[in-house]
Amino acid sequence: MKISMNWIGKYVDLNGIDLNELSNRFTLSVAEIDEVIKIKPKSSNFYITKVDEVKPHPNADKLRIAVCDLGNRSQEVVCGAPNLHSGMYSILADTGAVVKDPKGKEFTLQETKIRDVKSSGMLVSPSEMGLSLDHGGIIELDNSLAAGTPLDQAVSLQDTIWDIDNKSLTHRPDLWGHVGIAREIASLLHRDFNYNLTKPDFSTENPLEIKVEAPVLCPRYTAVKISKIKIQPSPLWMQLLLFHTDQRPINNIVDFTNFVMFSTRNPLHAFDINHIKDNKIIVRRARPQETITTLDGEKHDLIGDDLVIADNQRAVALAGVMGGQNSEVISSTSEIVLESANFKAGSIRKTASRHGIRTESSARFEKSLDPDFARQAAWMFCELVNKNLPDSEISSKWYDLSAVVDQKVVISISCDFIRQKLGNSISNQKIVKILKSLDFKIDENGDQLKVTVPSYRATKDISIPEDLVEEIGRIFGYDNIKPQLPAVTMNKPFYLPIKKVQNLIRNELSIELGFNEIMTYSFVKEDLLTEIGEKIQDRVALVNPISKEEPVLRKYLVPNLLEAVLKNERNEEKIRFYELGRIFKPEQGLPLQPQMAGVVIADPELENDDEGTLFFQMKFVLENLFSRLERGQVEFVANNNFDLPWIHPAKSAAVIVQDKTVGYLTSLNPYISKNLQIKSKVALGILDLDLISSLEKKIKLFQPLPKYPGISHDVSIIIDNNISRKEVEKVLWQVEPQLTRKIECFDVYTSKKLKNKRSLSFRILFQHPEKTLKQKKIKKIHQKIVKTVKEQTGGTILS
Amino acid sequence: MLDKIKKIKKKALTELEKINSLEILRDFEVKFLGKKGEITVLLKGMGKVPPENRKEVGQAVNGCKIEIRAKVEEKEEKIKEMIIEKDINRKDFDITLPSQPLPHKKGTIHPVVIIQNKVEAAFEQLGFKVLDYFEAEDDWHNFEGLNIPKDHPARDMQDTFWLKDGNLLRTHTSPGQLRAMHDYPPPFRAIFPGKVFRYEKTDASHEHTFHQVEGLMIDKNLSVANLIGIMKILLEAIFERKVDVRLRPGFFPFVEPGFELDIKCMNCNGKGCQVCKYSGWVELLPCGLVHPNVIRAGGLDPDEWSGWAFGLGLTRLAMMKYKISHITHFLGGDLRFYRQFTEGGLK
Ligand SMILES: [Zn+2]
Repeated sequence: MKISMNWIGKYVDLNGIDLNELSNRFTLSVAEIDEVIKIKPKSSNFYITKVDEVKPHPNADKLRIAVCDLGNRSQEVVCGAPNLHSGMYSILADTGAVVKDPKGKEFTLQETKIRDVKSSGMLVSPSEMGLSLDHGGIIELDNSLAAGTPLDQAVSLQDTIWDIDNKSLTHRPDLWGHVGIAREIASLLHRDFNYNLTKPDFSTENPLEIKVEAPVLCPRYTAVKISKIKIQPSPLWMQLLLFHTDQRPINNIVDFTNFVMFSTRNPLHAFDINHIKDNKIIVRRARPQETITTLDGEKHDLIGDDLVIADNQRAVALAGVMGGQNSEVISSTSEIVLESANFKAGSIRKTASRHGIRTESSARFEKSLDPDFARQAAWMFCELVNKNLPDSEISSKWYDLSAVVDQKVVISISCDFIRQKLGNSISNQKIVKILKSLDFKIDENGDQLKVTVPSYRATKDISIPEDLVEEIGRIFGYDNIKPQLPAVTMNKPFYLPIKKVQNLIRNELSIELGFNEIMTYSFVKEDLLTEIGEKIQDRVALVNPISKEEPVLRKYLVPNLLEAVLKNERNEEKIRFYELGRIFKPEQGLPLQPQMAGVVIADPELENDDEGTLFFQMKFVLENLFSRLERGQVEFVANNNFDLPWIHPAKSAAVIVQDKTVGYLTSLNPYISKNLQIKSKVALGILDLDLISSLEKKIKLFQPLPKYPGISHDVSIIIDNNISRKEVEKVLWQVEPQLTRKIECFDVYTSKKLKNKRSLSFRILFQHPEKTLKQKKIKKIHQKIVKTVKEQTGGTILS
Repeated sequence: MLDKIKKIKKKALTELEKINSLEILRDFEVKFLGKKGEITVLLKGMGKVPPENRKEVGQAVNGCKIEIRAKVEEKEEKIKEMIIEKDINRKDFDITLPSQPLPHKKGTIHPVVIIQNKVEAAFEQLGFKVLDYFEAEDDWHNFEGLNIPKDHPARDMQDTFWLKDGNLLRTHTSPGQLRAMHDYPPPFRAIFPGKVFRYEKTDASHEHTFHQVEGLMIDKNLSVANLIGIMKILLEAIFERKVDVRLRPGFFPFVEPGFELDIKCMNCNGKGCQVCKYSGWVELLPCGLVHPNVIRAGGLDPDEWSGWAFGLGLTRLAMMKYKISHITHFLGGDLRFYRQFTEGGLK
């Protein structure tokens, strides 16, 4: 919202004030100013002029010659503006004046000839004056300034404009106009706030009939009839203020309603009474199938929740949002009804969004305006009409239909409470002074204050003592409050088990094992699921997905991780990444949202992975993770019960800790690779971190160091493929359990020659607790191994 | 000539029938369809065919070529299918074989997590608990209980992803305030980082999913002066340098008074530059004293307990720190992005 300091100057004296400092103060105490714009036009050689006569141009159809009255002299200028007419008042830029060309570049006017006709100066458009981008015609003025008056003597052309972020005003309906901003400034500057309206003389003739049928949606409706109006341009000072705040002057009545709204905050609407049937105005809910065409030419189908202003037959305005075309004020209008009303915020907000019209009017009403603003606006408008159109007449009484219950908001508060909340020793006196400067009424009783909130702050802004603390704090200045660390109680040391698990996993994967941590969206694409062979049913679905392609939340990490493999496999060689995040499963109440880990190893260059290299690398990763997690030994068990399409039935295993399945690892099912056209070979490791962190902590205990050296003994066993390494190892442990310390499988050899067999090589460490073992003993053990292995597994030992 | 074509075709199809590996299929292709393949040679020999027969013979050769090519493709599909079937049905894969170490490589932590770890470490030193709450929330925790009733305009400002089960994706980390007050007896202090969601279209600077961290302190008699004091030392710990802060009024329904906290622009030291839009200050985080209605909704008595809270954008902090131009990189899954952030480590 644009705020003009000239406009503010009508209500508070800004003489001698450093406007830069003021804008900083305002940002710190009231609301953020996005930008301060200084308007400093070059204004010499501009004059008010009256066009006495318009003559045709001898050599051009589109140009005309204006004979301009400059008081003591007359000057002829060539003009192409369509709105040029004899008798009009405008602004003439004489030779030497600096004006702007259509591209905004400044140039100095010189005497010139246009199509062989001498032209001294020009009649200017708003864009040539630098007031707006509008160059549709020359500026039109009323006759309040005499022809020949130098412009810089008639009005102040310089101004300072604040552009305030509307968002920072959403909770302050009273700041949506200059009067409200001026009051804050007066309080900040400790200066007087001059805003007084006198009640106009309302006549009692010409009765109107006003009826409010929906008082809940329209707490206050006021109307007055004004006759003998002449539609003409508004005065220059007003046009300038409107230009400076980004409004386009139209004509006096429209400009007055805008000026009043940007001052008092209350939107107004003027109806041409000739188009109001039977002088009757009814505020009612829209009827079934009712429609209205608004001022912007759009036709709207209305529903019963929309509030309309209607005459005896039809809707003439969409209440508080926009007027109807059928009763618009036009150049021939001579008699109007001025509406100044208060409408219910929620209803205006819904109507505006339902019909997609956001106007200055709806933006204000939906903030909950003070119903008293309706009075102020009506009175200010009448004052403007009286002053600027002396021939006009207020020709009805002031109809004021109010359903507002005058309920004062009174807050009891102690000064100590304020001091405690702010953490500052501000005095009672200062507190009272600040509140009074903001128009609060105070009933003082020592430290206790009874504070009456002004009506315009009570609509939704201020209702509890904490709200008053904010008022004191911001005007006192938060930068005047000294930072202070609180005295606090010691808390027990605390950590969330899941956070610890996540941090350990991160460190192991990212720091130790060379993985990149990634994150993907919590949504999953439907076509991705389709290609994988999953349905979108039985997932948490969105009412308003960001795109139709992503209608559900992820139930597994894997699809998004596979998408990441696809995205990266063209740029990468060895891919290792992981994601830690929540997945979502439908459930009564809130969805289940377990924290998961998804680990991916992918190799775009690997031709085939019959050996399962990636699988065993993933196994390595998981073994390493669990060696850190203090949850005991991890086991990998073949399992055909996983019902997930990306699991490879042969190359997969359940991850088991403390007898619980906490996840799985698998080579990517080749059908999924085919469907998704993933060229990489992929291994996946998936863990349920919530489950893992809920498990009991297990600490691996110290093992005493051996006193006597041990002997390592290697055996290679040729054995059937379907007997696992684990089974063989188990047999080896049984041979000499007292002396065996460690068994490690260090080589696996397969060859076509071995047919359905392979060679497994083990290194066994033998150690005696009380003596050094002799080679002879090992030889004996070896015989025993050969025998046992043959008997129990059918394997044969080489050597 | 036509006989010859028939013969070759028959031979080819018979051979093709027996093929059961991709390698042999490749050899077959070379043998028949390659540069010197039997069928290619036939085409080259067209010159010798009398002109009146050329059309007929040409068509026959081409037809034969097309047919064999189609059969090869069919076969290839079959073999691939067979390989897959064989692979997933194999019985000889021993998952108990020893694991295999990974070759050394440099890993990285997600940039938002690097920042988050810093923030967590700073707060943990001051005795804050680090908590973790749900991303799918209910209306009460995200709005109602935070003093944002049904027709409150603040609901418009935080465009929401609604779920069909009536829940929503949290629009801020603030629901954690209510959950923490419920979970832990006062006094306590806690932060809760996490993903939040806003229903808006994405571009270079807008993203519907990003990360925040919420802070909450519940104790007796907390004041604005305390809030400024703590925020200052915490921000200094996070930025690892001296930080000047200022408070401006800011409106958030769940705090009263509410503030926008600005820090002095670190790019220009407050002199004014493009980063701070020449104001010398950068808006960093909203904060305030917890609204009594929210304390009440958390199950505590606002006459006895007070609180302050703040919300800090972790994604934004990461963008500021690393000067990341596109917010969509964070969740985009491109390893070339993540690999750039080599900082961070053991917490
Ligand atoms: Zn700067």
